[in-house]
Amino acid sequence: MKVTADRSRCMAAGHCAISAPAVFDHGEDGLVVVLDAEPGEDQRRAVEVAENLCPSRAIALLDASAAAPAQGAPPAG
Amino acid sequence: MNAPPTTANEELFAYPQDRACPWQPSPGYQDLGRRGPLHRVRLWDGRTIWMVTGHTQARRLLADPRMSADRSRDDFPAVLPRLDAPIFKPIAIIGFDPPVHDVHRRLLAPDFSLKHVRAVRPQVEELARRLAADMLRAGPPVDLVQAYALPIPSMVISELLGVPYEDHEFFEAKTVGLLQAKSAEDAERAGRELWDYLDGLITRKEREPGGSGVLSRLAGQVTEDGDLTREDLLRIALALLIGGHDTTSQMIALGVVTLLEHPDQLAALRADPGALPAAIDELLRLVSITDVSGVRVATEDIEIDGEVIRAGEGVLVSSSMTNRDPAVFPRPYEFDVHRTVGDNAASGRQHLTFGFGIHQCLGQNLARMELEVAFSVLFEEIPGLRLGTPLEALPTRSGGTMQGVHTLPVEW
Ligand code: HEM
Ligand code: SF4
Repeated sequence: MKVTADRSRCMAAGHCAISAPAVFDHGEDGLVVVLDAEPGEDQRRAVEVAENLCPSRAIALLDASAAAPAQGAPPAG
Repeated sequence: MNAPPTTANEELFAYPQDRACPWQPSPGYQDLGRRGPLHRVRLWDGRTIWMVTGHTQARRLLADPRMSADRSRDDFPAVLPRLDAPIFKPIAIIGFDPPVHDVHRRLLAPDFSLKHVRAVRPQVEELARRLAADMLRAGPPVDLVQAYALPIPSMVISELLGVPYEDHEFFEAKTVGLLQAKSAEDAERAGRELWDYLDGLITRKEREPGGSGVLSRLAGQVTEDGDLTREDLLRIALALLIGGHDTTSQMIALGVVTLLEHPDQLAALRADPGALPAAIDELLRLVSITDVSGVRVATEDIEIDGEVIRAGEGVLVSSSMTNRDPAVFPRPYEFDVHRTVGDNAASGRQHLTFGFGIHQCLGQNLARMELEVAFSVLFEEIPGLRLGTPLEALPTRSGGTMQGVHTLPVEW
């Protein structure tokens, strides 16, 4: 799974660092920083939550089609 | 079905309507919500706008760049008489579209970041304990708004901005005067007093550089031809001072009311303090303190759910109703502090109490921290807390945007 965060869209709302702290953090400027651009599958649910919550659509999960659980399905693992 | 925006239609639902219960939307909004996601409503000035009660539709519209937040546009709806006051157009950040919006918001991002919020938390805890101790010393009955709910956010925002807290009675009264005014004239008068006060304060900061707080830092970045003019700074100061304390203080007050009226939920929370962050989001969802997630005007025709929002039409997104969309929140009218258990705790943040899109609340992490501290310290220090007046007798604010209580008598 590949993860990107577009700093030019980020509005520093902070949801990503709360929902997936192993994958996202914030820089001194308050904007998103990706800590782990290729996180393991155990992070999928957390990254999906971050992607869903990000108000400015700054976060993208690149291979969302691969093994993405159906909506409402329990988190894998 | 698309009536022209200025036609007064007696048949249409009249916005706003008062709440019957402090933490539930007005019965009229509940009715609308059951009928569908998009509605035409009539405002005080006879204008017709759209009111959105569906969660998916709200997210789509609030994230759509064709929706403008620019309050200086002639077609921007004034959803309440006071919002017709010149001081509100233009109000910094919240009332600007990109690119100006993004530039100003990013100037402030470091001061509202999670890191900064975590760093100031110990001071807020100390403050809350001191206020609780003062309440215990004074003895019941106490007005929780004046003794606790208001001083916490008020001191936090004055510290963050670098506004002297000794002026708090002035800026609190003027903020309420501005946000609860019944007419544009009254709002303008209160707003101008705040404006002149901040103008003087910024002048002092310009003369004595190096002071603490956001306003001192930004005063050093002002250039008349650049990204931040002096007038921009004044507008930002006003928006942060107003936005920073009334919302949060009323959320503390109505949050306490909601918890006290749901003793089973309060007990569940006491038994599981780790559930507090998620419980705060559940309280934010339920209480929807601003009642509205955002107001916009369409700059182009926008098709949504088989309807067309025409260019120039106004849109009001109801937070209290989108937060009760049963597709996202099962048993939507129920208060359940464990709503998100078993899932990622942050998924309870799907509510639209802080809005959505690029204008989503800048102060939300600060507000969440203040709420966490306020509720945990209060119920720890004063475990026997109870309402000092029957729920029905609480002096609640009328319908519109900023919900809350004028006073909150409590005993223990
Ligand atoms: C429980 C407390 C709070 C609630 C419910 C709340 C609610 C909201 C909402 C709904 C919006 C979006 C408005 C729109 O899209 O038109 C917003 C924006 C904003 N809020 Fe808050 N707010 C709270 C606390 C705070 C605090 C503590 C501050 C700190 C100063 C603050 C500052 C702002 C600012 C500057 C914006 C404009 C952001 C932008 O346009 O990019 N708010 N707030
Ligand atoms: S959730 Fe989105 S807007 Fe918020 S900090 Fe993360 S990337 Fe930025």
